[in-house]
Amino acid sequence: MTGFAHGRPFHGEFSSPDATTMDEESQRFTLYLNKGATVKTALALAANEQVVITDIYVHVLANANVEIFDGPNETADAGERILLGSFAANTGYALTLNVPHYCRQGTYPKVVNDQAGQIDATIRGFIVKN
Amino acid sequence: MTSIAQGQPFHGEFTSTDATELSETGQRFTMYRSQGATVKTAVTLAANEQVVITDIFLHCELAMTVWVFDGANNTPNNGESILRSSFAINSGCGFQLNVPHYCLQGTYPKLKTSTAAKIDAIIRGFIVKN
Repeated sequence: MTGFAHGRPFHGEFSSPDATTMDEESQRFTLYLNKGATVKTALALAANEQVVITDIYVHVLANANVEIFDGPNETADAGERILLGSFAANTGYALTLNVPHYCRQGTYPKVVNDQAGQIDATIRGFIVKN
Repeated sequence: MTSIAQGQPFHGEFTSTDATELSETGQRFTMYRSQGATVKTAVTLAANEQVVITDIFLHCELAMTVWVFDGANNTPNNGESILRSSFAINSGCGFQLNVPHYCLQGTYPKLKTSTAAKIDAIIRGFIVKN
């Protein structure tokens, strides 16, 4: 997989007790560049940067429809879905992607949930400049 | 794995509340070439293009049997099965293929279910020209 995704390695964190009615900024994963980090500072994406996701971990406390997506707004439109499913309580997924997900350039990966309840998610991958 | 499949990376989305009696076109995953994308536009396969699948994620809201398959019509024939399984309520699977699945050239990956209920699926891989 790493043969076609070159960029700066990052990880992204999302944790919320209620991800049902957030605005676009609140839905975003907070992204951190890790290589050589002595402190961890949240990243602000440039317009020509693209988030490339290789690994996804998500877990929910209560039954919920979970959607991880990209794009410029708080709704997952066609082509912006990274993961979605109706999860049972206390379940989740850990996925390693052979072919990574390419978010829309300049947009953040995000999480939305249809039920209030703790949701924790971590993503990993690269940030590339186009 | 990457030495086996070289092509344009894509991801495909399928989401439905009733995938029991869909036509061949209704069963298709909608595929997007995402690398460097500022917008996401659905792919129309050429006759000499082949979909190569490396990653599969799906999740069911109710108990059901799910077929993921390729081929020219709405029935999974011999050699066209990508995944077939009976899932429990609020369950699914996510896995990565060391050797990818090669769909029949010029045909779309598709999904059907035994029960009318929400199903969400995402595939990833390459589109190659032969």
